Amino acid sequence: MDRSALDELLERARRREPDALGRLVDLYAARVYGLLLRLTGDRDAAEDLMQETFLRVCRMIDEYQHDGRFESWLMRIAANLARDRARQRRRHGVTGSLDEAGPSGGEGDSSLAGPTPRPDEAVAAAEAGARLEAALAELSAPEREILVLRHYADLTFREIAELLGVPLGTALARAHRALGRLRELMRVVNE
Amino acid sequence: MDARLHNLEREIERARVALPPLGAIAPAPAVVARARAAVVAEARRLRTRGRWLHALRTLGGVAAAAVLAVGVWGLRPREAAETDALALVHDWTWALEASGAQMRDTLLDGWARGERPDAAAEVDELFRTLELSLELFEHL
Repeated sequence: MDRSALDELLERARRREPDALGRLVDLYAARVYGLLLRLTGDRDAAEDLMQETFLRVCRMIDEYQHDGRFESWLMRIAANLARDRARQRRRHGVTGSLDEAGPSGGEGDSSLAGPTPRPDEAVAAAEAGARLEAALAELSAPEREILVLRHYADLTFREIAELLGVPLGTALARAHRALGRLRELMRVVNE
Repeated sequence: MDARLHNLEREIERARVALPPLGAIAPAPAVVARARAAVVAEARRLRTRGRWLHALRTLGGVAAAAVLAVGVWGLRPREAAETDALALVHDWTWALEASGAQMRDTLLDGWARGERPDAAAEVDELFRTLELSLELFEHL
């Protein structure tokens, strides 16, 4: 969708025209779901959170200042919902939160291992992309989170730092470590 | 951002752009349809609520204006004739009550023993009050 068409759609969405808001779901569902699935590792959770993301957009659209970065705003809402879910799970003693450090693993605990998209799910399942997905799945939850927020959701490091509630330097250091680990894993996956 | 952070970010970005892209992952069509329906319903609910709030504000404004107008109208000076008529009714009812009270007293209590009232004068007074009340009544 070109910029002017999106501008018009967002203007209609701000007036809460149901069709316009429904159209936003059609346009961005896959992007949002892809983020949430990679962050939570849980398909059911990703589906619920995706719906909640768009409901939040519907309620909060007045607060969005259109600066050409609607998708970033959308991704930030989704990421915050994923983090809220992780915090709630941690409070209830459920493992596999986004904030847990440590290697992924655990039979049957898909939230730690990270998802591997099924062929019928992936919009573009290029071989290289599949290798990257496999390597991401092996990262710890915080490492995976920061790389997915930058590489997939295209948030700036400043936005990521604000979302994570950490200084910019911390976010950058975490990303640097995560990338180093990712490169090692991808070398292993290639072998 | 200081130079150190700037350099670190540049290094990260160089490594990151060398990675293959991560594609979107399409959820099941039924999942998208459900989300769409929920959003459309929410949008309609918010729009209806918005209209109600707008209508309530408008009605509230109209009601406030009406109350103010009635209040101001109520404070307006009354016409002289209206005042005179009300006073006249008031006097007439008083006179009627006074004559009635006198007649009652006379009938029930009678004249006290030992007293020798002037009966004629009493009856005259009774009729005087009655005439007065009727006189007032004629002018209503």
